[in-house]
Amino acid sequence: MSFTVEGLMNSIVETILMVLVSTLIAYIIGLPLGILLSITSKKGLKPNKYVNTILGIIVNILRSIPCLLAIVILIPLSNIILGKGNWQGHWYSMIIPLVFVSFGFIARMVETSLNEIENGKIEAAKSLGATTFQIIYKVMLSEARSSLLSGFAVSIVSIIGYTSFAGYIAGGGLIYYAFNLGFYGTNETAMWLCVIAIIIIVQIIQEVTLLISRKIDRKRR
Amino acid sequence: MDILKIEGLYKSYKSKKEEIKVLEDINITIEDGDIYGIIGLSGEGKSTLVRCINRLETLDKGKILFFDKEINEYIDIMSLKNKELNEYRKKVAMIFQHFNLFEQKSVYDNVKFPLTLSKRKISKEDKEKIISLLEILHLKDKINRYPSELSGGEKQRVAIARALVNNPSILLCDEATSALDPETANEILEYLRKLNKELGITIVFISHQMNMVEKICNKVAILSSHKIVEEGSLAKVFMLPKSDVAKRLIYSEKLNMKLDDKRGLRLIFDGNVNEPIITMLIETCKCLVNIYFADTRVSEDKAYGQIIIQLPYYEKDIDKVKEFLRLHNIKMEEINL
Repeated sequence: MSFTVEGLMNSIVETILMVLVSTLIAYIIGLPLGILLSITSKKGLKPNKYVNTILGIIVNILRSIPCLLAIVILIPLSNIILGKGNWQGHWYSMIIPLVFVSFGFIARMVETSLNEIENGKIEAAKSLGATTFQIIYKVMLSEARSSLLSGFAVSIVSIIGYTSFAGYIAGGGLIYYAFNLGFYGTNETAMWLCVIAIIIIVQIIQEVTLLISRKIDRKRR
Repeated sequence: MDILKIEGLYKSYKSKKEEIKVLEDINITIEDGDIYGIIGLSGEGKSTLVRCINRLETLDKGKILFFDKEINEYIDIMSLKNKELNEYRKKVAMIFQHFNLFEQKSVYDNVKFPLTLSKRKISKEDKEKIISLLEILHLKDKINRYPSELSGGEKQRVAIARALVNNPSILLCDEATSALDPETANEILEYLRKLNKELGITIVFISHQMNMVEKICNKVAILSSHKIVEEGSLAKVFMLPKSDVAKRLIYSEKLNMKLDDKRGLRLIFDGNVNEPIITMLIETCKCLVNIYFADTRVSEDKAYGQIIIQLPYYEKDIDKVKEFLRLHNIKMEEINL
């Protein structure tokens, strides 16, 4: 395998697409799950021991399945959703496993952020006649927004890490490209170039989210 | 008209091992326009009582009846279901010891919050309502600030504005002045009094600070050992406290009753005083003053002559009295009685 600028660019685009789409879907599942975990906890808005325990167990199981195995386990599901045999070798082949391994983790991040909110604020909202749903989206999500965004940065960076497993299903992406260059192509300079590209991507995501997170936080100024 | 009637209220917390009584047989009637104080030492269930009133807690037994001015009828608040409960809570707002403002929302958005719960769009009248409330509470220049940029007193004023924006009938104050320094606390009391007078809102004021309750309430109930031990008009309860708890609460920061029957102090007025100095002395030093002899006359608003008072028994109180008189430039000499 030889290094080309076009190949590098393609890999960067693949990684970005893979990460963005997976993170988005993982949040669509993980955010409500995290909210549910938080409000059903003992000191939550709607304590429910059973729901909380069951969800907690499911999330913990999901989080303990390694990404590599998730890819294998999910082959049948990928066949159903993406069409049998069609998905291998494309960037989107990684989306299902990436979502699968990250949404439990994201749910826990969201739960932690929401649990940080002082109970008094939620009580105040209640005393003013807010419904549970209003408390969640007008108070909890708004008060925890800065912490949620920091959690988002951590999640997205770890999802970038998971994309390395794409190699096993020829899923593409920057890490896979770098691995091939270094391992098979013995083009170490090109491999390092890819590593630098990854570092830059991670840095940008981390710094930008941190900046926004600080900017929207009205509490610590 | 009675706006709130609490009848035979019982409340206890159940842990795995035991049942802890918090409130026992509470009966209270609050009239429309009252500033009703509920006093008690910490852990007596004051906060639980106020939280029962707007159903942040449930009762074990008893009834809380609220007179709904919209339908001219009493409603039993324990029977309210989700939607009705939220409507009820809009009529019985609450402020807290630690303000509980939304820190990611500006002052304006905090006050707007209760309105956004019942409607999607904020009308022009709503905006005017918010602004006028902020004006009454002297917060207009802080309208775009965030809670972290405000002082404690300002935060509590924002909380008051937030509580009042839905025009509630009752404002519950749960230790609302306890986290504030005395001066700021007095300021908040002034605002509450003003709102009570101008908007006619009924206030339920929970506190362990006797001096706060004394300053603002027209009626009080004293809570002790989870029961109400005394109830009635402020004057009645404070003039003739019957229960031990009431006596302890009322006299604890009141006058020092013991006097020295051998030592006195002669105060000499030579026209440099035009204030009610004896009253001020009692207020400031918290000492009882017994006038032994007085011969003063007033000319052109100034007092001339002398007053002999009995000195307090304790040396530290004597020092306070003397220091007070020195500060007010009153000549004095100690004498034997």
